[in-house]
Amino acid sequence: MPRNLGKRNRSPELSPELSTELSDSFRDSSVDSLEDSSGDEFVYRLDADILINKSFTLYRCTPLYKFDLSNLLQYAKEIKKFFEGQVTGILPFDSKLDEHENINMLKELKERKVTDVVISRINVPNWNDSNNLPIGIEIKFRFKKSSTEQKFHIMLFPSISHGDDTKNGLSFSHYPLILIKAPQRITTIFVEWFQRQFDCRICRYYLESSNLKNIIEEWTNLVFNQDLPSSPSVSRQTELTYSIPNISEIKNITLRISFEDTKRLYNSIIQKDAEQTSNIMEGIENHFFHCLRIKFTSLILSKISTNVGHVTCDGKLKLFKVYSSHLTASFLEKLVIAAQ
Amino acid sequence: MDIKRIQPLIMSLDEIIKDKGRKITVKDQIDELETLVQWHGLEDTQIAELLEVIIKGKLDDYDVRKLIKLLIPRKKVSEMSVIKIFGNFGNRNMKYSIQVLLLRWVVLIYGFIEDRSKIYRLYGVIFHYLEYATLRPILCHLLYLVTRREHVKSYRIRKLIELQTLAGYEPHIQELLKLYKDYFPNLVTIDIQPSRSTTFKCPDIAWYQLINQVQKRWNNDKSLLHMPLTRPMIPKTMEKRRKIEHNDIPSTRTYNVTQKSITLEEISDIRQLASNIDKVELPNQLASVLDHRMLQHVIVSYPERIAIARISYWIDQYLMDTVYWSDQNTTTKMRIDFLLNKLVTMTEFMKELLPVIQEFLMKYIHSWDGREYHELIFRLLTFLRPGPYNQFYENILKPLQSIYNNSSASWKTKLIHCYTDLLKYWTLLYEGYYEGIEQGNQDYEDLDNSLGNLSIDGDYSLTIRKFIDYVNRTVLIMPEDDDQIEIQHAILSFIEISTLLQLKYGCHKIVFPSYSVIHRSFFSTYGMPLSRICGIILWYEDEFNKCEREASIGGDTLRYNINQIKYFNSFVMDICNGIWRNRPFNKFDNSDGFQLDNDVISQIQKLCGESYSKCLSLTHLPSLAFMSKCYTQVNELGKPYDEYQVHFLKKLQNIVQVKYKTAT
Repeated sequence: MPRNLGKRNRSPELSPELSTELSDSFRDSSVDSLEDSSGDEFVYRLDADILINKSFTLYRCTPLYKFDLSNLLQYAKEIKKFFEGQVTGILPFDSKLDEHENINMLKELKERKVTDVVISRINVPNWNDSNNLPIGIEIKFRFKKSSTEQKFHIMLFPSISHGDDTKNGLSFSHYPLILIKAPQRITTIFVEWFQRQFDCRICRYYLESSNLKNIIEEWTNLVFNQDLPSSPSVSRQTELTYSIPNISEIKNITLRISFEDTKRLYNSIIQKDAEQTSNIMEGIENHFFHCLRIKFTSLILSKISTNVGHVTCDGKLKLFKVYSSHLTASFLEKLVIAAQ
Repeated sequence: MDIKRIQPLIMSLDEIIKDKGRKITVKDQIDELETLVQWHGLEDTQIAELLEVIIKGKLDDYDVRKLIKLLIPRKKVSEMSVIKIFGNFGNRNMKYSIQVLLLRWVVLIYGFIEDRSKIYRLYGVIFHYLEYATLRPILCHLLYLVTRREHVKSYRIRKLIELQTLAGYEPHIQELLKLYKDYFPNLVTIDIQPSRSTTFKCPDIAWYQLINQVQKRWNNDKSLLHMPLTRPMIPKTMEKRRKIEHNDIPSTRTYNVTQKSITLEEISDIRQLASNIDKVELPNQLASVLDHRMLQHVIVSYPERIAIARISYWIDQYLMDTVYWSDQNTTTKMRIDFLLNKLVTMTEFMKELLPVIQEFLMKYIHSWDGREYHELIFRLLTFLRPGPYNQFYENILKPLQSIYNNSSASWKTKLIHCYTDLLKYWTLLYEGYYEGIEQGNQDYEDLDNSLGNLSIDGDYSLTIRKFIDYVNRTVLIMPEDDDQIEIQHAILSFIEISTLLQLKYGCHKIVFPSYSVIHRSFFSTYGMPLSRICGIILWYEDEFNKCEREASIGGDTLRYNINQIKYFNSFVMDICNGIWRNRPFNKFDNSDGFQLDNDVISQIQKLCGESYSKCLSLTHLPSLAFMSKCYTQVNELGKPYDEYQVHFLKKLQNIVQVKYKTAT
């Protein structure tokens, strides 16, 4: 079961200097990617920016058997070969789909060619363990008829507490959280290769309503934290979608609150409640109960969208650029802990 | 039919085709040869000579076809004859249709070839001719038979894929690719769907039967008869079937193998497995063990810690994913049901529960409604491993008890049977423990279970004793509304097992069945409970006598105390007073009147009147009254005891029939 992703506490306060430093480090990860290194050092060929402004699907993964960080180049070659085999194979490759879907998929894929597969560690700023960094995979496709290139990304996040079991002589490496930005058919091929290569099991990572509420708390604290260096230029409205089970006429209700209103609500809660016993979600749900007489606490919060990003309960995640330097590592670490 | 005529006929054919000037007509010779060969077959040398005639290409197609059909070996065939055919692939005098026919013959007699080592070396030559569309299907069949691991090369895989791309879908190429994939799954990256039927069927059934008939007639080697024209099929679940069955278990595929590897895909029977069990490469996805009996054998024989961990991670996530993380719709429930079925099958085979399954059960039971998957859950529970009692009580017994209190008689029966089986399982573990002690091994840690370092650490005899005590006190109290024969049977089965465990193995302090069970069995309207409870009492009595004898000669200290003896004597005396001594509910001489109050006893006395003294006697006890009535009827007629038995059994049969009709 997913554990609580966020606590009510505010985000760690950041000094302006430190914050600037973090922003720079996030930006400068592209510089890292250019660095070549020899010997045992890794080459950061992928940039942490691939996490930003993209819709990822979350997956859980069991410990990988005989996954070796020193073999990343070899894995890249094998993945490329596997994709090519799947694409050039005459028979449809996904037996789980029906014939029609398979034919369409085949047509679409046969028009593409895998040009490159890159696997490298990603230097996500503020990641808690610099020896155990996330791993990114980039698969590049080029359409045969045109020169357009498409990139798909897969990111593996290492376990936080357990670390690497290879040290215990068990030959397991744990990357409990996987983020995939790719069409379903590409994802299927990748998952198949990964499962059979490292004897793992990958499944969708669904979030619970309570998880989304915790995320809202955390993100609101981050956005309205007065200690932040500067307010972001983009002020998106907060959007909460509640799904309603067992009523065929209404599938869901979406609440949209402007940035200013959310801020006012947040400030009023802070002023009223110095000890922070109530929270922003409670405030929003109480407010709408008074206005609409709908008990939102009894409904399922299925999607949230704020200035920071948006998350859905079926495991879709998108993080925006503005707060990424403050949030990405800590947020993903919480997801990892919940997934382990 | 003279067998000696064959040779001259072949010689004459050879002579005729040497005569270039004449128009060749060999119809008569072929007809005569046909009659002879269909009975006698041909010697190896004769086959070679006839092949020579065929290959020269002097005869017309009709005659050549007839001659090829006459290549019926009497015994084994030399591989040189086959090599001669391969050597004439490019022969312009031989039409492709004739080459196809010859290749069909090679396929048919493949099992009769004496030594195939040279043929294996000609693999590349055969493969080369796959370019020829006419030859391709039969060549693929032949290659399918010839292929060994060393023949599978990436350039050949590429060639087959290329041929498929050029020529479109061809089932025989698919079949060959599938075979390559079985040997080297990592080299064949394209996905090949399993076919419904065998692609390579017998190319000519009548011809094949004729060859077999001749072999049967002339060849003593019976093993050669009906040689298969395809490789032994390794049963694989069809993808579509897997989908219908909601089978998410990975298939048994071994990637990254070497030329010397032996994989499970190649092993088709248990003998082959037994001779290679220490060399078998484990498949890449070990969770396939759930659906593969051979692999289960391998894991049980070599339960490495890593292998168990790999299986456990998969099972753990699957269970969490389906039971807790996904919506509980029909599909999810079918997936859970499918997996639980597989877990039960594997556990019953291995006779052990993987710790990951035990952990899941301990978690799941707390939120279980008692109905969902109950048959499977009960079967898994019977393999729980003993642990500290408090933990066992909190995680298993307590949640089950809360369901028990609100469940039907049938559910209660199943739970009691489950407890009985669990006790039996623990008894088996204990048997191993005591055998160890007898062999001078006092260390319980050495009692390793097969599933990799899963030793039971600690002496759990206390857990077992407390478990028996708990079931006696809490589960076997037989509430009135559940006084049904199926529950009584379940309860008595548990008591019998627990009694045996205590008495036979002497591993615990003695725990008696509760008084309630003894009462209810005694007063039951069926003979079965009475008979079984008397049997149990007899076991205890024997044991007490044995213990006393041993104690008197300075043996072990007594495993019971004086209060227990008093308790035991009270229900022995109650039963004796009722059945034999016509003193029901007596409260003297160690008897306790079935623990009834005096007021109740006097009420019974009033109700029974004069027949009070006999009310629990052998003739009047509810469970025995029917039998005694039958006996009295027979006795009154002055018939012997044998007839009484017949009479009684007939009456019993009538009752059963009536009850059955009513029920249906």
